[in-house]
Amino acid sequence: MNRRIIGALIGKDLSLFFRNRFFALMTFLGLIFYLVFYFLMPSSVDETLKVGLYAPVMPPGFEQIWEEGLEIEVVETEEALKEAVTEGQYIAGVVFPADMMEKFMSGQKPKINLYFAADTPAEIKDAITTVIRELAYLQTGQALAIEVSEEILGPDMLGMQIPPRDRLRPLLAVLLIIFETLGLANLITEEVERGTIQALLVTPMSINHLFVAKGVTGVSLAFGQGIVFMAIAGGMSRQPLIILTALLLGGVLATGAGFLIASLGKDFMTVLAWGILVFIILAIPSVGIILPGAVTGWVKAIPSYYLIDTVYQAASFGAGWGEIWQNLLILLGFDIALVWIGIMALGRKAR
Amino acid sequence: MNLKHVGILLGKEFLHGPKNYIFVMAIVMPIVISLLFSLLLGTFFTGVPKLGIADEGSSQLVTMFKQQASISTKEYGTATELKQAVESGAVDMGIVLPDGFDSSVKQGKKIEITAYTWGESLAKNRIILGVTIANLVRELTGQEAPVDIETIILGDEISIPWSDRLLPLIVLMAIFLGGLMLQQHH
Repeated sequence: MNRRIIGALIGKDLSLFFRNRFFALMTFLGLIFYLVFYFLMPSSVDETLKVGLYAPVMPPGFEQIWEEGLEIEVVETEEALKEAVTEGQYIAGVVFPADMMEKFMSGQKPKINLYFAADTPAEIKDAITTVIRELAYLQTGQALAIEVSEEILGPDMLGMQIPPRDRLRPLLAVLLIIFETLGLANLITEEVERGTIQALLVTPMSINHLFVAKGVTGVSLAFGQGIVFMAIAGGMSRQPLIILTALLLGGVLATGAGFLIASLGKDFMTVLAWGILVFIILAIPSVGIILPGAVTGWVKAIPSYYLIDTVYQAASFGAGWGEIWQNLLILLGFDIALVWIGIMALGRKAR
Repeated sequence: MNLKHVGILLGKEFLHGPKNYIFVMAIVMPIVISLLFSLLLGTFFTGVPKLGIADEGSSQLVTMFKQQASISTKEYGTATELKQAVESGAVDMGIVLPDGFDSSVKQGKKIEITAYTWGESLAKNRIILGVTIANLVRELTGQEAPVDIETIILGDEISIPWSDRLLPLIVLMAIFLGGLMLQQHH
């Protein structure tokens, strides 16, 4: 294997890649867009129902029945409470009547006023009403006919929920990598279309040199973007070595897919048509992260599942080698298979 | 106006349209744009709490849960399926209602049930689901609410959430991209 030839080919490929305005622009703009999108997304999770309460007389022991997830702040006046609800400071405002305890004692039903802002969704109104009603049941000491014991499935993230942008961070990195599939496929297709490959093959360069150079170019572009994004977005703080390994294998996956698309494409438009199809298929496993439970076991048949799941588990939960080695092994298997199929198909086309 | 000619032209558009990347953009972009907006506005991850139920008998509670606007209810055939759904995050919480649940609670027997909770479920979702279960069981047993609750809406006019305000923009972009597809053909 002649390193000088491969180096020259990589230089040529990178130069050709960035000469295509669409892909050059998409490479830089894509990275910037994903980063801007990431930093614009909510950086925290508000997992509490914040309710304001005006109670001229606080029922005894009321504070003790507040549960985690419900934050009740006492307000001095009813007017201040209404203002705070209108301004969105509280999701709802609760007003206890001054004679609440007397009415409870005499068996009467006190009237509780619940204030909501005009844009509060109906389901939130219903939920808060239910919460307040249940608090009243508890306050009056009415026993429940069932005893509920709670069993948490999976790591309990209460109080340390993953913010939406961090949930999507691994996904954005993987999408950046997958997009490079199109760039590489177009690069190869252009060379086949212009006859450059055939011209190169009559030089001392062998077809192996060609694939190694294309492979290195593809992996560098995909892997490089993934690393830059994860580093700027702070995704390397947990298990960086695992994330780097996964992104590298992701780069190889994108390269294999790029070879395959290039073998099917005839020009820019067909590369784009096939590329978008491949992009959509490879992006499907991400639905499982955005909408947990939305996809079933069949999603494991898509190679990118092992990439997305590994980066997500490592970056979000700090999963170690022991937990994700199987993912990496399967991903490596898919990489080898896809690159081999891509080389075979492309080799036939180049010859 | 010859309808046959119009039909032929329309068929041609549908036949050749999907081969064009602009067509793909016209279909995909509105979906992507609406997804991006909902993600940026933080409304994507804030759906109603989801409750899973595996009813081993024929409890009235299932219907009562389904009538609640504050939660979304899904029914599962077995406790195993329910547990899997909770583990995957398809539902925030799952409960198994044993056979004869309704008659037992109505007779005042104390029944112990396990609430399987997804670890990533938000605290507010857990509390809403918890109190909804408790409230409906109380309703089933005939307990009367000890308070009257009056809901008062503040503000004269209904204000529209940002996600809804941006809807016309997304529709406009869908039409615009669809128009581009047509122009591309000509």
